[in-house]
Amino acid sequence: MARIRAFPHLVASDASVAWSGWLRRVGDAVVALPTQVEGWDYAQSLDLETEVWVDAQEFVESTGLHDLSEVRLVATVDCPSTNQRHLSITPLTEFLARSQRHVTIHIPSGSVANDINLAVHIALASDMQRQEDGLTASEAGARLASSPTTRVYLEGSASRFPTEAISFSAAQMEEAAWSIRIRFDDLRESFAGSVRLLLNSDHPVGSRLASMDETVYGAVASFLRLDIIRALLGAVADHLTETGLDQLPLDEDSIGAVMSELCVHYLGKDFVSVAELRRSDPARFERVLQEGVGISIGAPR
Amino acid sequence: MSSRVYPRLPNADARLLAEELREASLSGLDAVREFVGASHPRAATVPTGGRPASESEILQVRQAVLADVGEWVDGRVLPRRVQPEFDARLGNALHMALEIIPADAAHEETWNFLTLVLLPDVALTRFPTLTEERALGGQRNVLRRAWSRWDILGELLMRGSPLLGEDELVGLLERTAVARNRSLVKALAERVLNYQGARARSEYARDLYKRVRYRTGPLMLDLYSSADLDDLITLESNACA
Repeated sequence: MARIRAFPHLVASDASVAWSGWLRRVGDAVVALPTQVEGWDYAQSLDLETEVWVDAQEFVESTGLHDLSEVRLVATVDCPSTNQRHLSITPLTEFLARSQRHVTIHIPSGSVANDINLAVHIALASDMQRQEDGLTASEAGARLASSPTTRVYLEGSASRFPTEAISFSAAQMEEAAWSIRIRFDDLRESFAGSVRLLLNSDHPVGSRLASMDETVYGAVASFLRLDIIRALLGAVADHLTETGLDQLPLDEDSIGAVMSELCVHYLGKDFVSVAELRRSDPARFERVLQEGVGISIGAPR
Repeated sequence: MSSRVYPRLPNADARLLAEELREASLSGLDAVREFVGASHPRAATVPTGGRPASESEILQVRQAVLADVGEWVDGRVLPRRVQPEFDARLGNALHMALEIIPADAAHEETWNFLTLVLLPDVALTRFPTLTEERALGGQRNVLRRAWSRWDILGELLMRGSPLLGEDELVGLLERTAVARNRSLVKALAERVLNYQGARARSEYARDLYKRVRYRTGPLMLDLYSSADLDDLITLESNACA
């Protein structure tokens, strides 16, 4: 399904565009791109591709664009860690004329680290004559369709929640088993750079969590998860501006976007609703949170 | 040519070393300089990818940085008015001398080493209290921030009177949706540097960034030519000037 926010112009219908998973070209072979790439290192470049199906007639009807000459397919690779974006731009008319409907993108060696976000967009490259209906996209850059974002982890620990084992006593911190450190000024800041689970290496529970001890992990993982999500919700709710979260342009890796995902995933609600519940009925918020995240003893969910 | 990787110092060790440096700084920069080195028993380069910088190359980085900002690394408090120039020159020197693979520069532990083992006196000159967020290698680390800003903006950091200030840079670069579009970031920076209106420049910059950021929702500005970006920024600038 196409991912489109409410825009001031007509966008492509879901029926007009279909996306597929990402593939990696290794020599002459093309293999499915896994969520966690094994054996990758900085010396390797990455050649990625994905197939896109565009029903030209349906696309024209839904967007109102009868001239596709300025429409572009844009593959993007964003690396939050290196703060780099790679693009591959193909004219839609050229793409439609091909027998192979693949979009490809090359990522030079050494330019990405930790994890990358992949997506394909369809957008206007240049201004077009404004149509009488006033709704058809005419402004350069107008987004017409966007694929879901695919996150791929390139380095070993990138897929884990940002975690660090430290001696709380050496850091002059109280002897808790864990602590959640959340530091950000803006909801658009990187989640991974803003949030850290600190495990106390001096504490019998903290140190065994750090070493992924199965018994301790199974016993407290759900409480830990609950604690983390509660702390995150609180910190982000305190920063929520009156404009609301959904109206801000948020990158996939931003703390605002990750919190939105967490709210939907665990609580089945949008973030603004969750923040309002937390403010108006704290006790019910706790129950909803506990029900959504789940309390269990045993293997973590 | 970016080809080197540098030793990485784990966060736990970096935190302890930062505490030792803060204590030493109470006795002056000479005491801090006793910690300076090109290696650390707990630091190691990433095993795959890139060429590990040799100890002599690591020390050359220190020399290059001190050649550019050493005049201020004298134990006195860095005047506020000098900070933008200090940061710009530090970023330039690091960018030129490190020749670091961007992927290696993306890791906190790399900057832990460079900040606390190689250049602790420089770090303490810029941030005398050396709080954790400035000492450890996150996005706000004293060296990483300067390197990264130079990586994106380059010589624009040395232009203008005054130079781009802290608020103007934070607003420009710590918003990831905008910061990865480097043409857009540079065009915005140039526009702010050229601003000659009646408002405080930093206020104008904040409004301009906000207006342009909202345009990144419906519009994919990565498709814009430099002329297109100029037109868009002019439009938004006129609305907030």
